[in-house]
Amino acid sequence: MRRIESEVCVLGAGVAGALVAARLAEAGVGSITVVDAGRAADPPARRPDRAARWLDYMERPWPGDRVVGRPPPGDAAGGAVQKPTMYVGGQATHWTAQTPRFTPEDFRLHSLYGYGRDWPISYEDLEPHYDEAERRLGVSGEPDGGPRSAPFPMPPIPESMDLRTVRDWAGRAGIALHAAPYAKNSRPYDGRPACVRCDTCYVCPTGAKYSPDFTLRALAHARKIELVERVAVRRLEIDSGHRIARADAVDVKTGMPVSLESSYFVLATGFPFAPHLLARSATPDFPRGLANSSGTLGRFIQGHPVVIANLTIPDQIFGWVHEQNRLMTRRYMREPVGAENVRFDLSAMAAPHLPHLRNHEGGVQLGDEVLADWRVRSTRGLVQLRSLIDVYFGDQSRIVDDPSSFYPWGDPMPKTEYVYDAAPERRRRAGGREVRKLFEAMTKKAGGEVQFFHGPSAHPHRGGGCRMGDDATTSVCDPFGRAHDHENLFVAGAPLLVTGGCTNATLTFCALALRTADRLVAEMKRNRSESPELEPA
Amino acid sequence: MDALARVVLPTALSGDERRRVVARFAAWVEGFAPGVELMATEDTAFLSELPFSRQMRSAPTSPRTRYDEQLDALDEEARERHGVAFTALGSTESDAIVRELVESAVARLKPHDLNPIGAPALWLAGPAAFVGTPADHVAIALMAFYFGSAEGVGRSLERVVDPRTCRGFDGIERPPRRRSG
Repeated sequence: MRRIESEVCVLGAGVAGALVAARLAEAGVGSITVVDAGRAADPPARRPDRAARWLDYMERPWPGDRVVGRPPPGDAAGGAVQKPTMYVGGQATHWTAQTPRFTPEDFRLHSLYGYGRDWPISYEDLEPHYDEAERRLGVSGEPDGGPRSAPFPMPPIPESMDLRTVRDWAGRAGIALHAAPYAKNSRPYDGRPACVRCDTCYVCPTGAKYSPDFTLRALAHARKIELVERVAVRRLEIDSGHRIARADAVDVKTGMPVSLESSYFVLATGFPFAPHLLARSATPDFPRGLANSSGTLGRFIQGHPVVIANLTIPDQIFGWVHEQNRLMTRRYMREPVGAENVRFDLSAMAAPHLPHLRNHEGGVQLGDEVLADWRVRSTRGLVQLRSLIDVYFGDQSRIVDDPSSFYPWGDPMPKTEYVYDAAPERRRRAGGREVRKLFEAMTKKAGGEVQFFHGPSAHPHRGGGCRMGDDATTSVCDPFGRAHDHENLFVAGAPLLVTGGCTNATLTFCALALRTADRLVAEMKRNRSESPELEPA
Repeated sequence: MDALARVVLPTALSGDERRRVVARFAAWVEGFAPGVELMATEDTAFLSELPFSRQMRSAPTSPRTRYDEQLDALDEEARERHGVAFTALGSTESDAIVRELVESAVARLKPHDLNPIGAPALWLAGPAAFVGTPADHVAIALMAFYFGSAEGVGRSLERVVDPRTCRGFDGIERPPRRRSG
């Protein structure tokens, strides 16, 4: 059996794992292993060709990023089975990189509005880590009026004429939009170039968009971490003192067992894999799974239904100019509407009209007809609006084994069961109603027509399952991500969520991961006072 | 192929422009790589709004042979109906034959192959979106190729937008410049 020993073992090489590893390495932790079931993504030099083949031939620019025999990662269709990414760097190798913060209200929903649950930490507690996450990722953004201790690291990506048109249109409707923040360089930053508007952000061919594999490659190259690829963790084992003694893993290539032994374990496998692994690691002392004396492991999972609408507006939008970036407002995240106190974000993008094979009467079009129809439609601008609605899921929503999906090494994959019982269903319906009302009011006031309205459905940006709390009887981890039941086990990122918010959540996952890393560094320093090289942030 | 291009591409293209499109399309066909993983809905939420991407699939066999057979079939149809080769038909006759074929191919698409507004869009993945689908026809592929190209998009807007190029931000605050010709 292959044994890998380290001082800190980070399980999972996604964005949370990358940031934790970076923080630990900078603090002087001498022996850090980062383990991932996936393989290295293509080197950056290969990505321009991948982007070109994606555009020309619809080829996946991230080939092999999936469990053999299973569909690729993601949950776009709201599917119950969430597939793991099998690339070092995780989902954020191919993310949109939109990085808004949660609002102060997100952390106090129960106190303010009487639903959901208050977090054990405040926005102010997390704010320094938001700031650090923005610096580490390299975020470009425009001031949005929200509380922050430092400006965005970079000014926003230049605004296209099309986005200016959308901004002006929304302004006529009384909605002030600002540039959504993105982890994309608006100027050279952290050794990476500025964005040059390729409009293929799903696979950034230049490196202007942050990807966790940049961080991990640099750390491994500098020998600050040992990056162990293609090793999948199957269960955690505890010793008699309930400390995590080792992680039992398997070499994905050979099927041979691997033992990961460490003083501290950071579970950075993300949602839903971290709570699922803990549940799979049940022992006689912890029959419902490790870290689960509260019985809340794998429960209180969160996400937010999404509404998308296409609008035609009277203003000309050319489309195709710079489609990847959005404008947004946080107004309705902070000022709930309606009797249900509905909260949602609102983002908008300019969209291009597409050429059609059929005309509006259903007849096939060729050549000049395609062009003429396309030109007529293009005289009206096309805007896509999107809102994510805050819905709090209770303890009936949970993560279970999927009886029909297995990893090649034999373990069941996790399945997420989101239950829209009375409360979340009421909020989902009210959210859909209020958002639709807003979109229609905008078109009435500023001109335009809702062409297509979809949702509220699915629930992206999932998290929870290892929620944090002060009370060990109602939460899995403490407010820093340490498991209440296991003193050397920390959970980083998405699984710690208490509520799901109503905006893209990755920056919040990153901030939580950095807060966890800080606590771990501080503890290691305290425990090893003879090692002054360990410097907490 | 050039005779087909006369029917399915805008008539504003000069003969040279049309032949260049046909040559680029032929190069695209040659570059097709069977067996490669294709994009799927689950890769990104954005794709769930687009046609032909509902599930994981690999690129099917190269369309080259099918396209050649379909071009031969056009010729046979022309001879059967009018007694001459497709290349010798007038625009009305050739248009009618192609229109019927395209109609028949599009009719084979199932509702889930259509985008939310109910009409298959020709852009995004260009011709690749149609390969291996019930609408896998050279006439549709050639249209998708052209209208999905920078030139096709530019011609629709009568502006230069060059959507497939990393093009920087200079002038982005102004309307794209007008297309000449």
